Amino acid sequence: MIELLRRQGFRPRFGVWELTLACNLRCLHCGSHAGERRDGELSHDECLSIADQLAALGCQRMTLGGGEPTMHPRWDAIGRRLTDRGVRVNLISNGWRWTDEHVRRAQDAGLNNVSFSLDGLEPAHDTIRREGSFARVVGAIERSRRAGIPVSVVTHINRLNYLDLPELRAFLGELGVFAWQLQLGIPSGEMGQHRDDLIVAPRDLLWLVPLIAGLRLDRSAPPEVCPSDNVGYFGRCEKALRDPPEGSRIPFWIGCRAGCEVIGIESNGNVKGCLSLPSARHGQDRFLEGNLRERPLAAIWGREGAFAFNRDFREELLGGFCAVCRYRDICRGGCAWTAYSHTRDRFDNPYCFYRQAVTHHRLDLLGEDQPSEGELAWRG
Amino acid sequence: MTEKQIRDMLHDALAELDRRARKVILPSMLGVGLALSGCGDRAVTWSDGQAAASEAGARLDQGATLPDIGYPVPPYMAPEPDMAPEPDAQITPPPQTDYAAPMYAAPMPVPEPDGASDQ
Repeated sequence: MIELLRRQGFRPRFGVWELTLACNLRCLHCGSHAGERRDGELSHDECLSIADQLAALGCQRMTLGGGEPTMHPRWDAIGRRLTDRGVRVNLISNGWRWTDEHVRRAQDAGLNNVSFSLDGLEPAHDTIRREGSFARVVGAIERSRRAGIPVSVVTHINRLNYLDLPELRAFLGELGVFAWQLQLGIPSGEMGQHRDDLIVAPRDLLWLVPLIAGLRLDRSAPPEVCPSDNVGYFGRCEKALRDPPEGSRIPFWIGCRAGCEVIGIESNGNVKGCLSLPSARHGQDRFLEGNLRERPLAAIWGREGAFAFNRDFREELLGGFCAVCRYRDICRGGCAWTAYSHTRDRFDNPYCFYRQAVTHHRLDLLGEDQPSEGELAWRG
Repeated sequence: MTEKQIRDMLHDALAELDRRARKVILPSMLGVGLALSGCGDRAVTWSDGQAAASEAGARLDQGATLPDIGYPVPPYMAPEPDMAPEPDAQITPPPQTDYAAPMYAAPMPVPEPDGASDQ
């Protein structure tokens, strides 16, 4: 619900910062075509200035990513600057070359935790990333844990790994991983070439979402299962998906927070509401809000009309089933990146548990509420 | 959760934010009024690429500086860890070299150990 975010105040509380687009892997599902550095990546001094600006605007948590962020020569110094300014920082790495030296630098930088990308058990992970990469990332996790660094794992769900999720969760628990984020693979970047062989079908949510909710509810052992913002929404599983172990006043999806309290920064200084949104590098600049070389962060963030796709939401923008959905004012079309990548319409999102349950007449998955006549009558 | 339960919780959260706003914004507006009375030039000023304080502050119509109402973990963020080092913490030598060539890609620039990203 945009009104809730508006009344709380639009601030970049949470962010993902692509330190460099350089990467030492070429993953099949990479959403940003990572590999080569961007033209004109930010200098170290520029990064430090941005870190200061983020902290001044109330940033609470920042994830340093890439590309592969450890390909940036001074990733730890930027992390240190953020932590010195009171921001909690973590880093997402593919773990390919994560050595004891990286462990030491992460500790010296005061990182809150380190996340590693692990996309399934060995066959799936190595197929998606590179032969031998599973062994390397497991080694990176073990090395970090032995040094006392809290480790989380991020997994893209796709057709190669979605049957392995329960087994993978048990494996991560044995490794000492404390949190496991699950997100649906989206057809952007390299993954756009794999709609037929890797992308999960919308109707698969009918069993995947209950599976993820069940994994999250099972808190008998770590890791804590954390569905990302593109897994949902509503129906019988909503509270199980969203409510953290300690409880929350808002244990349900309130819509995409990009540009409201989430910010994405590309390595050349481009600012978006969420790093996952399409990049101007690929000819799509509708989500580009400005460049930090040209304007300070406060001016970009506070500009009238900025992040309009979320801040200026109106129900009449919604399309498809989202336009008739009972949760349309709360959900606003779900994850903006997911909706746009699949339909080229930020406000029409087929990757929705409620939508799939209604359109496939799986009313048993909806909980106590039954669909409206308008929802039942909708035909895509 | 039913739709009604969800909307009731949202209603309560909005009401709570309204209460907080009344506590925060009224004193803020009084403070701004006092400041304006002593400053005639409201032009935005810049210094070393940084916005002046009047530009950098949150707009009042964006809720000013209300504290978080509290809802779940944001994207890409792991929850707050509560982990201690394993008891027999021993760092072992890494089993791999520090750099490995890309899989099936043309050669790409590898950053120098220090400062290569500086423009």
